[in-house]
Parts: sequence; structure tokens; C-alpha cells
Amino acid sequence: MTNREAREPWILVPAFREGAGLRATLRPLCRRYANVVVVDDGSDDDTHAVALEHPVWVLRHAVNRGQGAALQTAIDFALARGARELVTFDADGQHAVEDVEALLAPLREGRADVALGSRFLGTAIGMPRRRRVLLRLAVHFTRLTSRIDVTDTHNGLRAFTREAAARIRITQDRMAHASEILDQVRTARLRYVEVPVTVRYTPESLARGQRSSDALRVLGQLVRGRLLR
Amino acid sequence: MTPFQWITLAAIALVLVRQVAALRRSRAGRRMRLLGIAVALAAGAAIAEPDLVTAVARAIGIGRGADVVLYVSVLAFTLVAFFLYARLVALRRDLTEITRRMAIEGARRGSAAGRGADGAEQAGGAGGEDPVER
Repeated sequence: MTNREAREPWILVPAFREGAGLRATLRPLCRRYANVVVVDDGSDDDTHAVALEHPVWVLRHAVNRGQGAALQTAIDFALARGARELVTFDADGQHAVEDVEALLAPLREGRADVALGSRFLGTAIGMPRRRRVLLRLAVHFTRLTSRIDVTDTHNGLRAFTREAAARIRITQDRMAHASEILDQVRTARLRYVEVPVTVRYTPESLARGQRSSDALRVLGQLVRGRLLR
Repeated sequence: MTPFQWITLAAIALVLVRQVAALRRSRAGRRMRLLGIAVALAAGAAIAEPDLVTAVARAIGIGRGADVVLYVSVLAFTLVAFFLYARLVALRRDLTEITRRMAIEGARRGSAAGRGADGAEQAGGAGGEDPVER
């Protein structure tokens, strides 16, 4: 591993069917960070090819396994290359690159092992009403079942120290991975803080986003994932 | 004997012959096979002699033989369902694990220059080290 790989933070981007939109996400990331890992979760479009146009590590799942699985793959890869700071980052352009430093700050100051982004503490731009309601429900459910006190349980923007990341093992491949991560943070007694971040709902991400029926399915997966753990 | 008994007993006899032959051939899955043979024998006995089931039912305090069969079937089905689901979950985990290993081993470095990276850039950074294995 090179010095840069060890010193600089690793940005982990799980991606599925992001296509050309991935460029908008990767470009600003690559400008600031040398260690970016994109895990293509078995996309059937040009996600993989688009990723390879950028100075990033590109991994590809041969079959689609879910966002949780893609995240764990990225974590394993980064740790193997000596990552000391790991930041998960969504591929769909909802997150702001500037927030990465805000998440790393508490880790560097030694105040926390894990930093969790929260759009409810920060800013949610263009969030549809139904989505907000649904998310609030999910937050409530996760807070009840995971007994962890966070305001935004399904935010893909998180930062981990190397030690913290090594203590986590995502086994829930699909949507339940978010609450699984929180669960493990709690049981491993990792120190966590919430950091206000900005989440921007772009027309693209909304179009791809969940309809009511999808939303119910996600909640169902949450419950089922919880029951099986 | 009723037609039903003829047909089903013949089928069971066939299954038994094949399972016993397979049992003698290889040691693999011995326990499951023995269990299957036991079940087939019990089913054959119950079909050949329905009064047997009634006798068993009386002995354990359930009124009708048909009820015993029902309860046993429901119980067996539930157990099998749980067992299969557990195996499915384990299978999914294995699949993810394999997919992950392949992904990590096949890691490539993209390049700002344009499309894709060839072998020379695959290792990234200085020194040309291979993607690291855990």
C-alpha cells in the first residue's frame, strides 16, 4: 500500500444502476480525494464503465447482492489497503462532498469512532412529503428496535475509524443493513456522534426513488431483517 | 385392496428400492436417506393397514387416525419450512461471500485519461503492487 492510501481518507461508494449520473457524483469526489472505491453491485447498465473513467478503484459484484453487501465489500477492500478513515457515500448525488470533512472532524478530534450524517439535523432539500413521513416512520422503528438514539437512521453518509470499521460486519445485504450498522455500533460500544449534513433530492434520484409500494416493501424488509437477527 | 392402495404402495415400493440401492452405493447423505426410508415404510404401513393409524391415534389420545396424520403432516411441514429457510439464508450469505471475493480480486483502477484501465494501471499508485488479499 502506498503512503497516500494509508494517510488519506477512503470514500466508499456502493453503486447500482447509476449510469451516467455517477459522473456527477464521482467528479467532485475525485478532485478532493485520492482513495475512492466504487462497488458496482451487478448493474446491467454502464455504471461500471462510467466508474472506470475516473481515477477510482472499481470493484464489481458479478451478481446483485444489495447495498449492504456492496458496502461491506468496499469496507473490506479499503481496510486491506490500509485505510485509516472510511467514509460511506451514496452514488446518486444526494450527498455533498463538503460534508465528508465535517464527518471526519469528530474522528480526528478523538471525540468519536463513528460519525453519522443526519439530514434532520442538517438540511433536506426538495424532500417530498411522503418520503419524509416514511423516513420518520423508519427512524422511529429503528430507534425502538436498535435502541440507538439517532435522528436519521437511513443516511448513507457515515464515517468510521479503521478500528470501528473493523468491528462492523454487515450481514444484511439489502435495506436492513442500515439498522444493522447502528445495532453493531451500539453493541460494540463504539462512540458515535451525529453530524448535520445536506441531502439534496434531485429529480433523477426521485424518479428512481421509491413509490409507496416500494416504501412498504422496504419497511417490510426492515421488520423481517430485524426479526431474523 | 383399493386402487388407491395399489398405486401408492407400488410407488412407495419403487422409491424404497431406489433409496436402498443408493444407500448401498455411497455413504453420502446416509442419515437423510435412512430417515426417508423410515418415512416411506411408515407411510406404506399406514396405507396398507389404515386401522394401524387409528390404533396409534387411540393410543396417544387423539380420536381419529386422520387427525393424527394431519397433525403430523402440519408439524413436519413447519419444521421443513424453517429448515429450508435457514438453509436459504446461509446460501445467500455464501453467495455474497463469493461475489465479494471475486469483486475484490478483480479490482481495477479507473483512469482520468479515458475509458478503463489496462493491466499497467491495474495496481494503481507506485510500485505496481497487486490488489491486496485479506
